[in-house]
Amino acid sequence: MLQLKNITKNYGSFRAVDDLSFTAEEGKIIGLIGPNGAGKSTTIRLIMNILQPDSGQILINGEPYKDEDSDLIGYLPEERGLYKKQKVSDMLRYLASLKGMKAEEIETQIDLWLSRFGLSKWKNEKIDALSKGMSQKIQFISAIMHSPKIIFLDEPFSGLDPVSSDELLKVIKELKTQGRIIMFSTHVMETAEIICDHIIMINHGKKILDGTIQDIRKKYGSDTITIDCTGSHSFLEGIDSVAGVTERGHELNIAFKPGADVNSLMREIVNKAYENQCVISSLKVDQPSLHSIFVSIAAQTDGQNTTQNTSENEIKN
Amino acid sequence: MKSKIKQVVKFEFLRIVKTKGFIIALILAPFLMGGGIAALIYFTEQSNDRTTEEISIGVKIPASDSLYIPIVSAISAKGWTIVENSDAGELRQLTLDNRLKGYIEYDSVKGVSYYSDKLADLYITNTITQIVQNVNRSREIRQLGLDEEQVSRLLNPESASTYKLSSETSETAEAANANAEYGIKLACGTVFFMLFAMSLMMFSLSVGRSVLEDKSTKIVDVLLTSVKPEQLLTGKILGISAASFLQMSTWIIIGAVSVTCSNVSALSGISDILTPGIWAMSAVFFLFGFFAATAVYASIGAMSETEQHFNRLSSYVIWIIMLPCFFMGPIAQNPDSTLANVLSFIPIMSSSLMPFRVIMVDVPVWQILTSFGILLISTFLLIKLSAKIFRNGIMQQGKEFGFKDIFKWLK
Repeated sequence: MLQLKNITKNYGSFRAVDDLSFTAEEGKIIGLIGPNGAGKSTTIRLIMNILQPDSGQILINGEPYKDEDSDLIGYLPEERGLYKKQKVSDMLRYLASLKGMKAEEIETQIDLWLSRFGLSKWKNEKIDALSKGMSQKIQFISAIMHSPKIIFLDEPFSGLDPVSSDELLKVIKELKTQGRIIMFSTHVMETAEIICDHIIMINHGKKILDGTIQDIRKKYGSDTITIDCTGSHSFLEGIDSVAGVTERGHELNIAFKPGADVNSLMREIVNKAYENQCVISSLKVDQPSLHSIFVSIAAQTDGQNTTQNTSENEIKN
Repeated sequence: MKSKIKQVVKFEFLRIVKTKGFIIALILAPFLMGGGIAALIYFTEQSNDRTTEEISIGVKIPASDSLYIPIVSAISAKGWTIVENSDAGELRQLTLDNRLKGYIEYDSVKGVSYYSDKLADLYITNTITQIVQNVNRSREIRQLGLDEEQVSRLLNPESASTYKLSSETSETAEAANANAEYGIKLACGTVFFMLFAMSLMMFSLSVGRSVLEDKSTKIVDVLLTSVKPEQLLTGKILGISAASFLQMSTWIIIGAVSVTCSNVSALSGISDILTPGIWAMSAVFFLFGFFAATAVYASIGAMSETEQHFNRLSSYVIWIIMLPCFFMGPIAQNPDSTLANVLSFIPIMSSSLMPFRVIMVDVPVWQILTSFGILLISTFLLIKLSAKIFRNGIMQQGKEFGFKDIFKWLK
């Protein structure tokens, strides 16, 4: 289990991470999301022990982080970096040896993983001869070949074709079933929604969301109904609870006012449609996407932050 | 964690050693350098040895003049051909047609003059002026009424014999030997100096570039999940140092074998000059200077964002390493001068300059120890400071750091 307890990190007068706490459990994929500059990179570097927190604790299985724990961590950074003039095998050998792997074990693992990703014939080629996708797979192999307990994957699918993405996803799911803690950072909310069991969202260094996808959806609820209908839909304008209608081909996306009773609203829509000879072929209450939740929360916290900054400036003035 | 430093050392060492450039430099450089020196010696000797060259000099001196016989005899004694002609215009044309090197003309008013369109050929110009000077001098002396023996003694006075003083051995070395010894010392000292200065610059630049590559390719983020910044820095410095020592020792071995196998008698005294003590002292000075320079370059690499930024920052340090090269002329002429003394106390510079001075002259022990003490302390401090700069700089990306930032980090 990985635990962050009240972690704070400052760069001079700028607070990059502010009293951040969360727990990541074995066998779970935890998504760390947040807008640019939210403090994700600093948080990742703190977990990776690249940076030291100014206050708070990082615990692995209840124990404070020790130097030896670095062997338990695998890291795939967002900006890929490999020595271009090195051979694939030499590069993997070096990174694995830094993770404390024995020479014989390294050779076995290199062959195993290169074969798994269909890269065996590239073993003795230089990195700069590989395509972007291949380099990414090599870097992924280097992050997992020492069987780490905690794996941090920063945008693992960027630049990969759909086949390679599926291949990678399969491996990630396998690692999950093996009980590894997988932390995952992405800006693509659809991906996070599919892969992650748990989401932690940070903004301005603070945790603003923490829960399972289901919990988050429940918490942020729904504010739209989508109907597929033929005929005039002008009757919707006469319904009090409707805040607005967006047309998407046959589909109408109906936003309703806060506090509206969804069941009564649906009944009213069906009745009015019948009266106005509008044929509804489907009707559903929309689940809010992680994307929309992300956007609304980010906007909300940005607004709060702006207000707070303005107040602070007014006080200073 | 020590084994991780070992892995970094091994990787960085092999990374350099396995490159084609290193292998080519390792094997070819000594031969190219040796070949270059041999070619230089050959062509210098060829240009100096003009005994076999056909040289014709025109002479327009009346046979009745007392200068005629001594000048013509002295020129003939050189083996040069004399072309006598009373028409100066013809001699001039022959010279311009390259059939004569020049011509001597005597005029009772102007005296003896030498005309040539090749006055830059100092060998001929100086020989002629010397001959005329000697002839005139002996004529003047004879006019004083001295006999031939007295004239000869006046023209060829005895010189002082020179002896090298040494506290360990008796004074036996005479002028000729002393000159030869100076030549070998100068050659050895210069080779050591250049080898050390160039290696310091080349390999410390490699460390800096390697750090910059880690930073710009972002691989440093992955490396730092396994090793601490200080360990990464140590591993890099030691790995690249090992490659540097491999290269230098190979060159020295090739040089030593070549000298041993060659029959050049002048080189036989090298082993007397490059004693084990000098080897050991030079190695220690180089080692610490190397660590200091690489630490500085590593921190520059960590501060830099691009190759251009790296070059800009490192140009200041290159000056420190290369400064003695610019003063090599005066330093070689007097290795005990104030300039040589002062520069050999400045850290990094002292790594190449102190071995040079020790080879050339008897440097007092206190100077060697003080210079080494300064180097040792500054190396220690530079490594400490560089580790701090490295730790801060390596992880901060997207900004070009300057010296202002360094002071902030060092606080």
